[in-house]
Amino acid sequence: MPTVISGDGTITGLVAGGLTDGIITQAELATGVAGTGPAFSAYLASAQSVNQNTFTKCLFDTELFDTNNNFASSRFTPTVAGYYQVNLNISSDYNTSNSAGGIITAIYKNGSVYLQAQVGIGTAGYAYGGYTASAVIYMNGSTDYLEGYGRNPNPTGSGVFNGGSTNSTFSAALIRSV
Amino acid sequence: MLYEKIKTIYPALTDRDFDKYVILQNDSDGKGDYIAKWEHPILTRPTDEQLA
Repeated sequence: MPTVISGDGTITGLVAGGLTDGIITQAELATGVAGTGPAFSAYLASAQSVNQNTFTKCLFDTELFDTNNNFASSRFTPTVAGYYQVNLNISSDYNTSNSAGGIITAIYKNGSVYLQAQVGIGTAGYAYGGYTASAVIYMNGSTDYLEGYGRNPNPTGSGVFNGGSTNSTFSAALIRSV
Repeated sequence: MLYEKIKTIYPALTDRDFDKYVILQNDSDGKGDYIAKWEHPILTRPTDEQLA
């Protein structure tokens, strides 16, 4: 008989002596019951200046939520091992009057590029928008950490990482434990 | 800025080169820009003296 934990707090399926292995797995949770693993969401509050063609760490200085206090100094270091859905969006301006290029949004894991999303832009015009990278990433729950970087080949003026809760954002949540 | 110094030393470098062969990085820790990767097939990495 499966053990089921329901959203109203009831547990069914237990037999005398308790669980056979003493562990309630994700599969044994009732439909509609989500895990309580770490999750955070943060954004860049004010525009951040960056230099041309330089991968720059985006300073996500304002938290919307951080359920397990695993996000600090624009770095996510979850203390629960597992697989995390990670979303990085950086809003940036680009003036293509000089040359073509590509705006890059990059998720860094442990100081190195894990995934980068690049938007190529031609030689004439102006680009503005949010550029997103997302991935499911395994984290070991102790030393692994994530950061968000962006690169702009030809920033327009200063503050080319645009600030605000709807512009440059960084979020992650545990979707599967080990 | 570091990008401009490198472009002064090697004007032929293109933006595409900065996608593939040369990675500049800034960790927003107050230490400024630095060369995280230099794997250009022809041009040698500039020396600290050249970049000073």
